[in-house]
Amino acid sequence: MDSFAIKRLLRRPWLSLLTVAIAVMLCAALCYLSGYLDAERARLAQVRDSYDILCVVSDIYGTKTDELGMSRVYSDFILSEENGIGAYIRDPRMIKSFGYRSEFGAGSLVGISSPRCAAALDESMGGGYEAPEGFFGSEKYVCLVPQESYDELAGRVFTFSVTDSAGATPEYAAGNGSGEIEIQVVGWYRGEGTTLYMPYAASQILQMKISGIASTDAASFLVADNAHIEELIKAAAPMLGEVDPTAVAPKGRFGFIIYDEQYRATLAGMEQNIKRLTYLLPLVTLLSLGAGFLVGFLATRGEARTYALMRSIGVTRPQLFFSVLGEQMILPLLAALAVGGAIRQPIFAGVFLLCHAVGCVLATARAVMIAPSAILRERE
Amino acid sequence: MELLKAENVSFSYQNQYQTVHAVKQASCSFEEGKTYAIVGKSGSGKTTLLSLLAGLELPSAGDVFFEGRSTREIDCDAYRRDHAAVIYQSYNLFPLLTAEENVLYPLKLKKIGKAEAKARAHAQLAAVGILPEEYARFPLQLSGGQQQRVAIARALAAGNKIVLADEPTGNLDVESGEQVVEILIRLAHEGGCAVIIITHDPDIAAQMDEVFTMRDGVLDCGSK
Repeated sequence: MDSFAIKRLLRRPWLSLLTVAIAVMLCAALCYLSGYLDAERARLAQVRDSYDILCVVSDIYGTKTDELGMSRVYSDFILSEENGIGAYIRDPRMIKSFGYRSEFGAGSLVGISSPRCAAALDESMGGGYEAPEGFFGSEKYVCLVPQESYDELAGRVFTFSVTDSAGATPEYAAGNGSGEIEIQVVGWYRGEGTTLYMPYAASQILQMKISGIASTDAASFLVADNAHIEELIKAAAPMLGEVDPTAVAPKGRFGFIIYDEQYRATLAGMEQNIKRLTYLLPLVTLLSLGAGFLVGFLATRGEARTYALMRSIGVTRPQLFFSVLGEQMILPLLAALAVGGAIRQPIFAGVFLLCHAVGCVLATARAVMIAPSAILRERE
Repeated sequence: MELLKAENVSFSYQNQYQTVHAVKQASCSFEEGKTYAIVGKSGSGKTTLLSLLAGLELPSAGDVFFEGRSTREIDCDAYRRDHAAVIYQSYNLFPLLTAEENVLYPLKLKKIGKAEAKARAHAQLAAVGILPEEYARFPLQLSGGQQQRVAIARALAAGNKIVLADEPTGNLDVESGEQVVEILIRLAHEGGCAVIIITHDPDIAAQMDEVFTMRDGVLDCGSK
């Protein structure tokens, strides 16, 4: 590109401004949209990977999720990776409740497998606790008491008269469903009340001791891999059937409810967004090409005489082509460099520039094809 | 010395309605240091002949020879750049370049150094009567006569041996026209160029060393 081309360019300020405006607008749109598309895709992947889809075990009609009296066969099926659905789930939350009476009062003794089983312990729900490491997997008779009582009870061992929850004790239980045990206070949970929390595994041992069986009152878990919910449903089918409120002759006793509506709605919204962007990007790319042609067309329109003159002075056709093309591309190039640099999308700034160049090439090729003698001949 | 020669040159082209036989078997030759006029009515083929001589078109039949070589064999772009300059009736200056830049343009094409190009451009502009304060003016800021003189300066600055002028005084007043013709004649007689002028004006033709007449594409080589 020679100095005369730059001079010509600077002496057409309106066309130059229009060229810059179009280039900045389209390049920015392309860079922004592509960046937005990348971000949406990353967000979608993140949602797919990290969204917590809660599944709650219920009776087969889906009407009851606690006091299920679910035998050990079921809890083992939920937790086992080899013979159950353990490989498809994460963060299982198993609960077993007892009634208790002790020297400091009466209340509920609840075996839990995770702090998220109880709102009072769950930090995400405003709860909190302090417990020795490994508390929730422990098989020892230990418990957490309300924070307000902890200073007084800390470390002490109490004798509890424990009764298996009446509604949850199956009729085929071997024991009488009650007994005395000693439990040590090892920690606290935020709040007040009479409920005590003990490890789920210990609660299973306790129930075996007083009732001769082990059962679970409530169970829930999160889907391990959100992209494979169908596989979880398939794997669970032998024990945990499909919840059917209208079932007359249900295939099993328990089912599970998947709370994935919000997940699916979020996903659908994002997928819709991505789909729109996927259509929009080629459109903007085409627009860039069109704009290139428009700028090229506007720049070469009415210049036939100038080009013919240049040719008649001895400018070769390739020289003319590259000179005119350079004249048209210098401003979009600067715009693309600036915008691509500012938005940090150099690749899409390059895509814009390429499309713009194709448009300019089409317009320029058309313009420089003129025979230098055509103007002279017209007059003849 | 013979610089340029047309030998049985014919040229036809297709316009919107028909095939136009613009030049029919024209033969003529042009020597250094002489002026030539090609006269004829509008549509007689004068400008087409000029474009063939300038290497802007190749003949349909016959040949145009520059220093003995056919324009079919030589690089016509280089021929126009280095040897043949064309001056047009409507001046055809680059509208977005100043008078000085218009003259510098062909020198840049010839890759002549900046300082030398500038000196040559100024010398030629001065030779055709353009004042230094007019160098930075754009064509539209100059009168018709000034524009045509800038066009001549552009043709001369490159040092081309052949100057082809297509009705160079057609858009000028009498005084400016006379000045332009005077410059072109001086260019041939003092500068050693072959100057070929297409004109309607019998007074201009009368000042030329040789006059060719075109009628319906046929060139009459009868000298004046």
